[in-house]
Amino acid sequence: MGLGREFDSGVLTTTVDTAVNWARKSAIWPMTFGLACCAIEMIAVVASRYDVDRFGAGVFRGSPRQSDLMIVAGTLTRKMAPVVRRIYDQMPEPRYVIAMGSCATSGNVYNTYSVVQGVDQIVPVDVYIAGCPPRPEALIDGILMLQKKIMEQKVFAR
Amino acid sequence: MEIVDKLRERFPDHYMGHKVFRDEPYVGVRKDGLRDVCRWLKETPGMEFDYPVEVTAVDYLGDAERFEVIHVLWSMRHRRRVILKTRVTEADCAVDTVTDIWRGANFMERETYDMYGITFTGHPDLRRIMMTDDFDGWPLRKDYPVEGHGWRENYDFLPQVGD
Repeated sequence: MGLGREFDSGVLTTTVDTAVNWARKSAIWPMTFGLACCAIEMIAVVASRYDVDRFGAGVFRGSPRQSDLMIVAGTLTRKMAPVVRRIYDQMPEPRYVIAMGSCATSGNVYNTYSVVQGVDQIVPVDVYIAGCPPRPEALIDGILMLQKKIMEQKVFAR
Repeated sequence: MEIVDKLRERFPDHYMGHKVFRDEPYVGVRKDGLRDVCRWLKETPGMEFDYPVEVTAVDYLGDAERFEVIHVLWSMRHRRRVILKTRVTEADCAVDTVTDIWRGANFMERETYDMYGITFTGHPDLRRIMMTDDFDGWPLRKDYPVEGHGWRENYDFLPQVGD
């Protein structure tokens, strides 16, 4: 399984870091932050064909206080930017952000007076997903990339 | 076109030219006569343009009469459209409101005000509808810059180092 050494008697030795990271990555609870069309693809990911619940990330919480992951799906306008920041600040650590789609990554083709050119101007982003909109498989790939990133975190060791 | 002929006959001094594109008349109207023309278009049997499709504006930067206010009207009974175009200068960019003729024009006039700065005299509640109330500038004017006006680069709500 890659978590450590397994013995015949049903004993597994691992490090605290690995165990904690495994628990964190296997149950990432996202918070729905669908702003625009990418939200539809996010809904498709949660539905039965591209089921994201297989990866533990299917419990979409409505409240930022109960979630670990904020998937910013859609165009971020300057008027909405303080709201995104406030919701990000309300999330307890460890928290992660996925910028889903072209608008959240960089503003897409909307180089206008009101569109923030990328959500990373407002919140720190862990994974960027390209696409307009990204296919549901691409979003799942992004979530798996985030899981890989979580496994590399060092919580207790230095 | 029948609508244009009747309009010309009823308001000879407000009529300022027309063209027809794909069976739809685009009539130029003088600013002073806009309300009368609109009311006549709504109330005359045979015209009955009871649905305001759009109230918007165009910015012809460089022209003496810079803005062109456009009213698109649809008649549900007769199923046809007419477009009224009114030119106004930048110094005096105020047009009469048509909210008492069509209630639906309320938000559309607010949007035109928000984006171009064209005031509608007599509007019950003329304030910005899309931008924040303290926004400075008229975004859809042609001389409004995409970057550099400070709105989209200013993130003063972000916590700074030392807070």
